[in-house]
Amino acid sequence: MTTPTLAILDLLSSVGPNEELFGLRICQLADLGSGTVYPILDRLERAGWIVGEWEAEQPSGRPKRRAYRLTGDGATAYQRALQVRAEKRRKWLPETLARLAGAR
Amino acid sequence: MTTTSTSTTAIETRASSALLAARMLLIGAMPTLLVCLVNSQLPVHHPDSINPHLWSYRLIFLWMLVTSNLHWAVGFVLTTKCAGSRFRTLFGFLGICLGLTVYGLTLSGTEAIDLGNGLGLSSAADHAGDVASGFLPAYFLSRTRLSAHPAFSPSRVVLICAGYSMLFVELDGLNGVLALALPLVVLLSLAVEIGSATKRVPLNVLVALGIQAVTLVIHPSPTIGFVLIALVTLARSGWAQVPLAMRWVGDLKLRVQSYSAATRHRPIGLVEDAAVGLAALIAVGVRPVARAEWTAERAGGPDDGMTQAQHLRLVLGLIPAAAKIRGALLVAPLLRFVDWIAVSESRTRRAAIVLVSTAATYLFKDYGFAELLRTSESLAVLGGGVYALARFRREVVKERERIAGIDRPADDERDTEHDQ
Repeated sequence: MTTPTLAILDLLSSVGPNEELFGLRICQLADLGSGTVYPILDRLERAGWIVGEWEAEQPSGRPKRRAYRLTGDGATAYQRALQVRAEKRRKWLPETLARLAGAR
Repeated sequence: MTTTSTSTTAIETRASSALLAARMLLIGAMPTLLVCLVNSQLPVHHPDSINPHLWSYRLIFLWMLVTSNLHWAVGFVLTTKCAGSRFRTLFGFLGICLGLTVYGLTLSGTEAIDLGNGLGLSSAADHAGDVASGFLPAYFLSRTRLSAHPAFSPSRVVLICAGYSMLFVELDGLNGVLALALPLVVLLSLAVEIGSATKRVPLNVLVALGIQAVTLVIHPSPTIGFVLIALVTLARSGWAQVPLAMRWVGDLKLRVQSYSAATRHRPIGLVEDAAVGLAALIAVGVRPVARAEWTAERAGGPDDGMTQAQHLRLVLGLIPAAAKIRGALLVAPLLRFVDWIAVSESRTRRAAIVLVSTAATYLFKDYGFAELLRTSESLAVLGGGVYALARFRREVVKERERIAGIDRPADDERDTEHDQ
């Protein structure tokens, strides 16, 4: 899983119950370009990890925006992704050193 | 009694559908078949008549250039007229394919002159490819609001096709890229003509064709001709006439003001609008909510706290975002196949062996043993590259499966499973 994907999932998992995160707001908070964020949101939505919902009430002077939130599956997958990443980082150095030693 | 009447109605419906399908097939095929008829009477089919210095030859060349992409124009007009009826559009499309196939078949076996690789006059297969590259962008464009613009008249489409054909021939070898750039050519042409009155478009077309003919005679470079057409069109448009241009700028100001009042105060609103429109156009069919979502994001909110430059940058980023979404869905089946090979060590080995041995066989058969030896290094790189790519994808799949909670057997076990 790429770092931007993790950053977006991290942001969505930390959002409060009354807070809404829209596409460009996610870009702003995650400090990522919209060219990176939207394809990831699209992929995560297709996978069922996040869900997009239109604002419930019609705001004055602008169209309704689409807010994203993490689903149950998404939250589980995010936790697993964090574990996998941590495990990989933990294993990386000893494994690389062992390989190098074996090569000698 | 009721059953009989129901079945009679069903038969009538089927009959009228069949008639409509036949009509659309005829409408789609007719223009190409007429061009086919005209071209069969032209002297260019005899090799002795090739003489680029003759006026007649150059006029014929011009005719061939314009008509070679006729299917694009027909496709566009058909899809615009039939917007809302997929049945009509489908059979219109099939009609164009039919016409082009018949055209291609009449030319194969004759001494058809290759007037440029991009023209694709040599086989029916070439024409089928042309239909796909020309019709599909036209189809998608026709489903957008752009097609409702009065500047999208049939004569304008012919002009665009002429320019496109010329670029097609001039940049020989980049046909695939140009096919993708076609919508951009259309947008550029629209931008050039936007200030001129619609009723003048047929005259503009005549002027454009005249310039192209003169250019071909003086200096046979289709692109220079197309650039001249664009310049003259621009000069004849509202931009070149001060009162008209002032009025246009005034209208533009009003539009910007009313738009800003409705959404937010931004002088660069039109650029953002165009970016959102283009992004939504690219994502049409793959992300149904894209237009509504991005239009709302473009309008923004009072609490977003972004500077104008930040907002513009994010809105412009929607274009690559849409392209990435579409691209990801396009390559998804290919990646599934690659992953299927990559997850198994034995399949990866076989794939590398098959690829390298195919390339080696081809080199040996066509160029001999010496060439095979000379390129052995490249073949080794090819095999190694395939193997490295497979290893990389295997790691990606492994991580994905672990995140999804799938317990994956070790590589050796998996190979045994797959091989059984």
